[in-house]
Amino acid sequence: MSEPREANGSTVPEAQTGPDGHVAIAAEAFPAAITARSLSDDAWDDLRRSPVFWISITIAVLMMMIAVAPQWFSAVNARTAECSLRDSLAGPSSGHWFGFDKQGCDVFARTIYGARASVLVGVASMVLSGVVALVIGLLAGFYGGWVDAVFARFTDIVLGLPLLLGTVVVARALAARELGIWPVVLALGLLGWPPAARVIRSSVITARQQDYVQAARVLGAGNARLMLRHILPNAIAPTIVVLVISLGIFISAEATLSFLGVGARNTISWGADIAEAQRWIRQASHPLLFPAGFLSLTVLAFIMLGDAVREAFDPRLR
Amino acid sequence: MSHYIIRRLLQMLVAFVGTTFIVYALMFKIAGDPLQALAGEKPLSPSQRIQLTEQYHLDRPFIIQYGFYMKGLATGNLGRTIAGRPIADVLAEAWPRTIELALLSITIVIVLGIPAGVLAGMWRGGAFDTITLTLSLIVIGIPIFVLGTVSQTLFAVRLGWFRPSYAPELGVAAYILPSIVLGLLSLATAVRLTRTAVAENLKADYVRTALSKGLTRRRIVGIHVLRNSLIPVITFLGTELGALMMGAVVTEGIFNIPGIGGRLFQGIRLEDGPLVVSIVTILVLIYLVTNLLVDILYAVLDPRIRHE
Amino acid sequence: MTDASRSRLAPPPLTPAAHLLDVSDLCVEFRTRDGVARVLNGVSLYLDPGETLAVLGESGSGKSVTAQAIMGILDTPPAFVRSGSIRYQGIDLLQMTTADQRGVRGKHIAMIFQDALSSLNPVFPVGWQISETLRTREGLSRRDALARAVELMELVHIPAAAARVHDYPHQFSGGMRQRVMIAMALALNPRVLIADEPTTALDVTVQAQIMDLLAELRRTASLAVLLITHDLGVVASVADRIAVMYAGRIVEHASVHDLYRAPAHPYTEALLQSIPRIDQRGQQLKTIKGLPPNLLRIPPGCPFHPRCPYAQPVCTTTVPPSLALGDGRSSACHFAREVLDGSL
Repeated sequence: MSEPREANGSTVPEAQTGPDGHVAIAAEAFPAAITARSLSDDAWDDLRRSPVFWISITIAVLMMMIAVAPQWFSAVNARTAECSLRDSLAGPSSGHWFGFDKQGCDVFARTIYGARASVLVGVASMVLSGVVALVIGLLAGFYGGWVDAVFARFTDIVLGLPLLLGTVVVARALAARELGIWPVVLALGLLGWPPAARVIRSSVITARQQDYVQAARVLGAGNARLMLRHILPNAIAPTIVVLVISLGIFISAEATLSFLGVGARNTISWGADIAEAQRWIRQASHPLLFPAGFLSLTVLAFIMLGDAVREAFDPRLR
Repeated sequence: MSHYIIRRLLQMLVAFVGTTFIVYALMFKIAGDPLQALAGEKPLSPSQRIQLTEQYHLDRPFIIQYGFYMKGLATGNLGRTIAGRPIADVLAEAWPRTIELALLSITIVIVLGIPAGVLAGMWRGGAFDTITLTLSLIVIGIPIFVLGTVSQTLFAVRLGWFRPSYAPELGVAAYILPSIVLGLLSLATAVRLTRTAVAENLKADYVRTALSKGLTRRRIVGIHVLRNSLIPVITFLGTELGALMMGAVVTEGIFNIPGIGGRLFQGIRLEDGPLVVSIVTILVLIYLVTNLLVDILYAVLDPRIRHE
Repeated sequence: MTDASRSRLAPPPLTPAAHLLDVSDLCVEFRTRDGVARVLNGVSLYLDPGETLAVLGESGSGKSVTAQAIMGILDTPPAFVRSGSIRYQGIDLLQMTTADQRGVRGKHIAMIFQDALSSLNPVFPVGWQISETLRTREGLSRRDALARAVELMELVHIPAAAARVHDYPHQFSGGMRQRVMIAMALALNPRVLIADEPTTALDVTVQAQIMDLLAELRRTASLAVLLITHDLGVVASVADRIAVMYAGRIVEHASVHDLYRAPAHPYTEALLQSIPRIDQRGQQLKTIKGLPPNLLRIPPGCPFHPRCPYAQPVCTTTVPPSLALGDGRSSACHFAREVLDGSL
């Protein structure tokens, strides 16, 4: 695929002068350092005032807590509770806010206990894909030339295998080995890194061309030092954004795989519960709607969080 | 231009060989017993074992197996399902439905997405823009199978506006709800992409030139800005047509449409390894070919690439 | 229906006193998040057929805003015209309906820009772009319009015009692209051409060629040219008169000859001293100390006083009026006469 074309760097309109009145000159005299500093300050100011940021981060943190300690949120332990077919598909009632599913299990308890599989898979896949993306993005961006070309073809191959299909194949092949969530994590992590690698690569290329990095190189800084001290810090903000968004995408993918029936077995999962509930929607829809709502809220929270941070940090959108 | 196409074609071939090799290796190498990977947890009869071993040349070295598989793919011999049906027949029967579904979806995306994106881009920061952006973000944030199951529950089961499952006697009408579900994610992305492209192009210097030529605003937006803005949007839609085929797995599964996606959905649930591998390989091929076509289209649309 | 048939601008009913283009007391402000920036503060200038007026100033002085205001292509918001008039053939463009204003653009007043590559639409052939107004506004057929485009490209000396008419902007060199821009601007036979830093992005030799072309067109097409530039060197060779701008005001206005011989404003004087001269080798170049003012907070009195070597108490309190110095020359300095005869 062709690289997205960068828009021209923003230019300062004639009359838009800064507080000291001399932006045009000041920007030339003091490059990157000052403008970057005030830009990130502005970005945090914007974030602090953004309701989307606060709502999404609250939901994200809450879901993380539910995943870590479901027993704090549900009196019924869905993993050990006995389900009684007498309660099959019974509607919401006091004490059982979300009602019961086809097997007569408490939907609220299952929804709370289902968070762990999704969040755990999401976080683990994000870490794995983040590491792969960091290595590939850094090397491709820093060395350029044939290293970059080789990685570009490699990225093409991975991109040729769409996330969902590739994961289906991997998860299916490993399903017989009873490895729990790990086949899914492995598949998502190893197939989901290209977007993050692209972001890292392009910010490394931008940073590498900056005068102060060139200066450090001339002064004899080694490659490792250049990468860690000068180039990596520039890539952090955009990388965090793309990783947070990918966390949402991985959680969504995990649930989709469980829905398709290739997720981890013997694990309570939103996707699997939604698939089961879909078979009985003519009789009752609450066993479907509650886990679907939790799942959507979680995915949305991470994607909106990433979007809010990106919007705050991207000067072109200001 | 021809250099560009040849280069892209070669890149696509490399990607195709690499990708199918990975799929094939994953399928037959990382699982301990390739036969069991093909059949899942079902017990296999001795005759089935012999048949599968023969079909996939499992008694030969791995690279030869892969070679035979590619040969089969090239000659249209895709082997048989676990149940014994020729896979090529299954696919031939399923194709038209998936194509109809995907075309209807992409039509919905184009008809709704591009105008909405243009308006949002023209009135950037306005009420329409804010609402569109929020709605599209919500759509992007909800997994497609949730959209599918919830809209099936709501609009088909509860409200009765549509049939909950595929009814072939309805003709195109049978695809309306599934195609909306399938297209929503692309629609949201297309709106955002169009909006950004239009907003950025409106700030371009050539718009100022067009103004100073005394052109009407309608002509400036409708011809100068739109022609430039549509380049990324059309290329996105092209890639998306391939991606829609993938999305069809979930959508066709939910609405019981017996297309390619529905077959894959069933294949996964019934643990029919041969069918799954064949469909995945073919979907990958479609995806890569549409990407190649999109690259060519991109060159046709953007003279700067054409004369590269 | 084409614009030509409904334009309200009849062929020039020029009285000797009226100028072709007459800008009077133009005030423009930018309403930004940080406050209102007064970008133009009473700009007056005029232009007659066949002559070139150069508007000279640093970036931020308001010269481009002046051009855009005359063209009617200010970005509103943030830019708003607060007061003043822009008379073309005696009719105030600011009082016209938007549709009539559009009719003037391109047909009567045309404009070319600094960066020809980004100013041309990348996805249409140059011939299409040159002939666009001929088709949409004059109602020419595609074929006739394209033939006319080739003529226009020949007029601006683009070699092999007929062969290159279907090429795209990126296939031309910088100088040729600017020629394409000029051909496009000339399509409807305008009477005024506004050139906003037309050579800034070009090599020095190509700059000279473009300037020669503008001078030639001014003679052959009796075009009036408003040349916006920050380059004193460019001005000397082509302009008849110069208006020097500072902080949204025209601080000095004089014929090129007069201005170069003896400046009547300390800012002009400082500008002239800051260019290297062959007859003053070995001397240190002078620079203008300080920075141009923040347009959100223009200093009281003369806006140049913080940087002016001759500043007196009166300069910090009273805005200097434009003093007429004879021969159409004027200077907005309390001590214009003293600066002029060098008695300060």
